[in-house]
Amino acid sequence: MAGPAYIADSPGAVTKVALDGLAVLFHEPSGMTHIVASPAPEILEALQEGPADLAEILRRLSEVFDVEPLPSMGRGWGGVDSATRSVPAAMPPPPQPSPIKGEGAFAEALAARLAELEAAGLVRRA
Amino acid sequence: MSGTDDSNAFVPSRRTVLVLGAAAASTVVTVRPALAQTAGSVLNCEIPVPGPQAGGSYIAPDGSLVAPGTPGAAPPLARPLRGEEVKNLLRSGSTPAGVDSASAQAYANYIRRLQAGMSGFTCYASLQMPR
Amino acid sequence: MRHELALRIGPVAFRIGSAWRSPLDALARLYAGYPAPEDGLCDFTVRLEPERPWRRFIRPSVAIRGDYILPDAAPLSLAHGLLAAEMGMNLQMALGQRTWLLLHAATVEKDGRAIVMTGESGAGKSTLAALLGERGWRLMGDEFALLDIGSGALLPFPRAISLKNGAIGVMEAEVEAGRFGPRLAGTPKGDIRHLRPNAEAIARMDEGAKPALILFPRFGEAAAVRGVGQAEVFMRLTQASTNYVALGRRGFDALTDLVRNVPALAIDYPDTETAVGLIADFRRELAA
Repeated sequence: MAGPAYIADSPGAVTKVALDGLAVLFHEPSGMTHIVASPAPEILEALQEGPADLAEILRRLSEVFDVEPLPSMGRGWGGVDSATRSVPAAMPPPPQPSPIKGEGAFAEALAARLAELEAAGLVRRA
Repeated sequence: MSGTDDSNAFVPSRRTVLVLGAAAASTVVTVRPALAQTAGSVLNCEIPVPGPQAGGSYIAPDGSLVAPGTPGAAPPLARPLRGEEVKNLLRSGSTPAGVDSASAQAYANYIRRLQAGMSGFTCYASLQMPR
Repeated sequence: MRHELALRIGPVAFRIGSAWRSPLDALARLYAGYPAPEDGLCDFTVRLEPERPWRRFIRPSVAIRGDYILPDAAPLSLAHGLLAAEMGMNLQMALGQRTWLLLHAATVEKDGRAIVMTGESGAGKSTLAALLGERGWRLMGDEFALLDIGSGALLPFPRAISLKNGAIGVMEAEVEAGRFGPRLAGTPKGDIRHLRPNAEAIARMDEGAKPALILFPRFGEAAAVRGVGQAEVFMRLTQASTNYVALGRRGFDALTDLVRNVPALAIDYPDTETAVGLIADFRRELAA
């Protein structure tokens, strides 16, 4: 998919300190401090290889991680079993969009993450 | 990333799940300067309504400045509002002493529209509750 | 200016100038026993000036000015001149301090270990600090904690404690009258009375301490204690600091070091005696 290419600053521009599951970043060029949760640091790391658009970022992340759009919902698909609506035990999960194609939920989620990073000044468009 | 981090989360020994998160989720929080909140506790401040540059303008219900005598608009306040009065006005709509309650809404909206450089802005900023 | 007073509090020296004599007389009495600045050199100047020239005599109105000013500041009456001087000193620290990372917090110390109590104004930090200062703890400060950026140590800044409303009576019952300033009624924050730290706090005002515990006290709830995650502590401390952003990378390093090395707890307390007891428990655990 053609979209904007994103760039992150080089490693020397950002100081990172891990704090109980989150990371605190000091961005030298702006002098600003950001507290970030996954997948923000992983996305910044993925951009170290060079400018990338959403599909490419997704591809780089997928090389290292099992990428999911959302936290897994727990038992069964469709969530709650109710008295009026029973979900067959053998129901297969819905077809997940392929991460490489960057479609659907993946693209939306990743775009949201990049928008946050852009607003914070940690990422910009090439 | 620079080398201060000693817990390298980016090359796991087995594949980890990375959740991208819902579109509305917030994964980046930027630290804002906090001078206003702290200075607010050390100084009593006041907000003239409207500021001295307004030249006698009245205040429309939405807080904008209008010509004096415009129907439905509130007159300039005779004295500046103190920090505590402004806080109460903005939080609970309680009208300061000597202020007409119908005008109170106009004054509240004027204050909310204050920008940096306008008289009273620092006071308004210092009254905001921490997020 | 017409009248002047020089005062050293911990590592910071102030020159306070005033168009009127009474605020400086009150300040000198409140800070009896404090040292003069070394070599007479001052870090900050506070000036108490008439809001308009004729307001020096007619309904005297004290404007707080100095090296650093905040626009929109309301002037105070001459009767509250002492309060104006205190606010002026706070303002110089809040706006001008670049040597140490400033945290809006009360600090007490025992056996070289300091407890930093931080939170919103009105959370009861000053009262707690004042009480602990009379119960065997050394008061390092009730308004500002000074964090040394290189060493991570806390430096004392034992200003007069600003007691408000109900807290005044609490401390009047504990401390002799000579250590109090005048009761100032009808200030924007209600009644205020200043309390001079005790002789030990003054004598040891050049002695730093290692931070051992960060505390977020909250008054008015049933007693409870819970841990606070490091990221939350970090965020809350940036909001409690007037100069974190201005210090840039140095501030980041100092604060991340503090948060990584020092545990943090949030406590709810229904009354100050309960809080004093909880803090005594923490101290025993820290010393163990």
